Amino acid sequence: MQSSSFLLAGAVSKLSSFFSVSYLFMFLPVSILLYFIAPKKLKKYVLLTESMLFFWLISGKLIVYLLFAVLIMHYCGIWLNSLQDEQRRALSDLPREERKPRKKRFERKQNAVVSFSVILLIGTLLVLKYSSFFSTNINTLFDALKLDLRIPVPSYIMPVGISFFSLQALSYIIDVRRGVVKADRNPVRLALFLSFFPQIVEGPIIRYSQTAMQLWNADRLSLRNLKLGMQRIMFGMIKKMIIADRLNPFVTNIFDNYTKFEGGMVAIGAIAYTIQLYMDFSGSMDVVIGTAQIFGISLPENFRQPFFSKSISEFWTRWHITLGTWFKDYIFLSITGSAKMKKLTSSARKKIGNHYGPLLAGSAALFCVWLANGLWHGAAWNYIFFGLYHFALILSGSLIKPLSRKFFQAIKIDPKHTAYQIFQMLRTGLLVVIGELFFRANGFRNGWRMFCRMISDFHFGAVDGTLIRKLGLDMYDCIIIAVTLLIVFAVSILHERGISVRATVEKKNVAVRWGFCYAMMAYIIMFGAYGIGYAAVDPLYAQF
Amino acid sequence: MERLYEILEDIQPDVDYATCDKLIDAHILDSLALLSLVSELEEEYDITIPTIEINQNNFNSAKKIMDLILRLKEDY
Amino acid sequence: MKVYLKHILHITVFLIIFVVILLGLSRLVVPKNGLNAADTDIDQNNGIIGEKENTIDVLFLGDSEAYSAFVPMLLWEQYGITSYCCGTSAQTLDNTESYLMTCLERQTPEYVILETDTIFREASFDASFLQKANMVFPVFLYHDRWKSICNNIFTQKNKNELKDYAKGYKYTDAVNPASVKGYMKADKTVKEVSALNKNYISNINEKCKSKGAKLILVSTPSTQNWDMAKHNGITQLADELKLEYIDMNLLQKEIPINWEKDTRDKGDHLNYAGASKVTRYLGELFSKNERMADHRSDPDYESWNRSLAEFKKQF
Repeated sequence: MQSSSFLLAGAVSKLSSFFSVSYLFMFLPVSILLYFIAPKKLKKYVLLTESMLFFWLISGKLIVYLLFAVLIMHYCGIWLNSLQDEQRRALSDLPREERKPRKKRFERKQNAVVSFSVILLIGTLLVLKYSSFFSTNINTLFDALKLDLRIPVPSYIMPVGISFFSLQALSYIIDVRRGVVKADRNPVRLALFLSFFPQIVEGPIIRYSQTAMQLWNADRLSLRNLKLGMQRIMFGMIKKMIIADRLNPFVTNIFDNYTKFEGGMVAIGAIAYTIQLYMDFSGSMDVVIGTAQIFGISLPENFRQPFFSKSISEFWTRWHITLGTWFKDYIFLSITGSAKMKKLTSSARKKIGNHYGPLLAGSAALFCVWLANGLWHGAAWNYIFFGLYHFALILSGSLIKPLSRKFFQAIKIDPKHTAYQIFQMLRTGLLVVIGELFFRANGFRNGWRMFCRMISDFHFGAVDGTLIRKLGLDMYDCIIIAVTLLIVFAVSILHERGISVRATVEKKNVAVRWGFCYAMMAYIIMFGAYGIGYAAVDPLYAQF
Repeated sequence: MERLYEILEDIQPDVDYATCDKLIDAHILDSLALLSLVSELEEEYDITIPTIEINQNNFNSAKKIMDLILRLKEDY
Repeated sequence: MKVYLKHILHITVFLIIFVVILLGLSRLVVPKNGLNAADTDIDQNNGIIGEKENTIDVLFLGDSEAYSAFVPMLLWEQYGITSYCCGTSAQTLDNTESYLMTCLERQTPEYVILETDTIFREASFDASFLQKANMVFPVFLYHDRWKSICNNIFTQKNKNELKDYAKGYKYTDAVNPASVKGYMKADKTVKEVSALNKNYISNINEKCKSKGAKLILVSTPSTQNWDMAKHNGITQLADELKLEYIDMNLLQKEIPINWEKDTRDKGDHLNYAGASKVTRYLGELFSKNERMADHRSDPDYESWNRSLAEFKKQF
């Protein structure tokens, strides 16, 4: 009786965290074992079943949304392909002069199919995620206009990962439209591609051409992949459980009570949050990619040492990479590649030159990308601000480029000099931290006030032991965070140089290899921020 | 090829386009620069570069860009 | 086949060495008798480990309700009864069980008082799993003690008896009046205790019995946290497991809480004024038991007088 109630009580809801016992020590080992014993031909179906079960355990009946997305992918894909085949046949029969108008009609039909799928997929996402935000704001508007109207504010439960798999499904359809992939007539394969459990919760957002066939060719487990995957998972656990979880009470305290702190502390809070977010998210990605590696599936990276970026524009090619490339390929390129925009660009280039001309279409497209990016993160004004903040930074960066080049030539500084590059990295880091301040703040208004406080009241009050303790961290915690950050930093530098730590260790002898693994495990167990000391804090409790 | 180097220099100067093969990877050309580049190439070489061709494979080095241009001129 | 056997052997040896390492780490971090200040910084309840063997008469367990309502120093001052309060914010029953087991290793309390707010808090699966793992590999429970070990090596902090003078109680004299609207209004519904938690209580009871301690469930006064439905749920639990249950929310004559003055946060928790009333009630109850000796003049319990002096000085 004890073990069964043990299993049911809370095991299910905990599953959506990769760092829970339920996932790491129950779901994952069982999944690997079942995969291992299944015959080769059936392994892909085992993966599919496990993925569907995983989804169902977290979101239950809401799995219909996932299945709905697969259905749309399946039918729209086939529909597009048949339109394309028709187009080819029709055009080959016609003489050259008559081709253009017919082609246009087919293109329009295909675009209609894509629009249809966008309405269904993105429309569903919009309704589930944004209708309460939308209604609340309409009501606020009515109040401001002194109208006595009120619309109901709905509230929907969202299935896990809907923000991710909606985009993933749409990318397949657009890829079929563009001829990048051929429509897949196998809905089971499409289902596996969309639902593969390691990536369903938090991404990375994958393209059909990257993993669909990998998954379909699911092969025997290899001990090598098992080892490398586990090492990657452990590195993720180090980042998340030792750094991110330790910083969490501190960060929460500052963001919830910023009025009690001076500007300097707010700044430290923002920096701490940025570190926490990076460790948490990239650590999760390590677990996701490591898990996929165990199964022999290679997923794309989502982070590439983002804090070595020298500009905000570069930052977004290194942070949440798959989201950035999705927006670039499916929004930015779609908008700038459209006939009207191309015409705008070429006529603008003639009037205001090669650098500024394309910026007209470019900034319109960028605006859409960043508005979407901000909104994608959440239904709240501070997320919209976050997106537009980065839009402003990237656009102004581009506008200033020719001027800054002249400036550096005038004062004779070589932009490739190391000192300048470090300056650029620090500057980018600062801009990112400010963005994250707004991202994390409890609403836009609080974010703005925190920012103002940081600027106007920038000093550090009495920073002594009791203050830090009150905020949830003691001296030893700070030391551990510093040491672990150094380790992560060292690994980042190696990765930036193209050196893989795991590959290097692989070549050494047994003692080194096993020692490496044991060291990571012991590090996590000893210094992880779990257990009684890190539980919820009653304000009175913290003072003691 | 010389003309291509000129175009690239104009959009993003101070790069050795003869040897660099990481134009996209090393973020030497960002999205807005690519936009300028595509627009100018279409005009200069009288081609249309479809969206799916705008990727790392085709734009990572001057040589790859040239290969793309030649291929598109043939298809047209 | 041969390859698989080799791999499985590989993995097995790896895991065996891992288990050895876990046991080694556990030996390293499990606290022996000598404690220092840093230990209570990590978890103030570690203080109970520092108490002399077999000197604790009463153990209090529970969440923030417990550490806000039970004052060990008051029990000492007025009745000569020794006690310790192992309450933690948002405590769940798996923690409660751990603290109980830690305490019972070296203590033989007469009473174990469990504040009932904890009983309606669902233990998270992760926490329960960890707690079970702790029984085999204590390193999961005590891993944070690397901080104390560093302290031992790098500083000269002495034993922290005086730091621990409140014995787990958290003092406050803040006043924030509560409204008594609807407080304990009649309600026939029963808020059921979950099967998992019932299991925990049963285990806790068994452990108490095995060490000769009597487990009593106590609901401390709280306008915000307690109601008749919960009362009924605990009554049902107490009946099933044959436990004594004292609901102080219904003893408004015997424990006259003044909701204008005795709460620190609008009726969620009591302040010192309220806690004194609760503790005095329990003190009267305990002292009626002949086995409870008054240790006030016992030289072995001298440290308690020192703690009391420090307690009075601080508060």
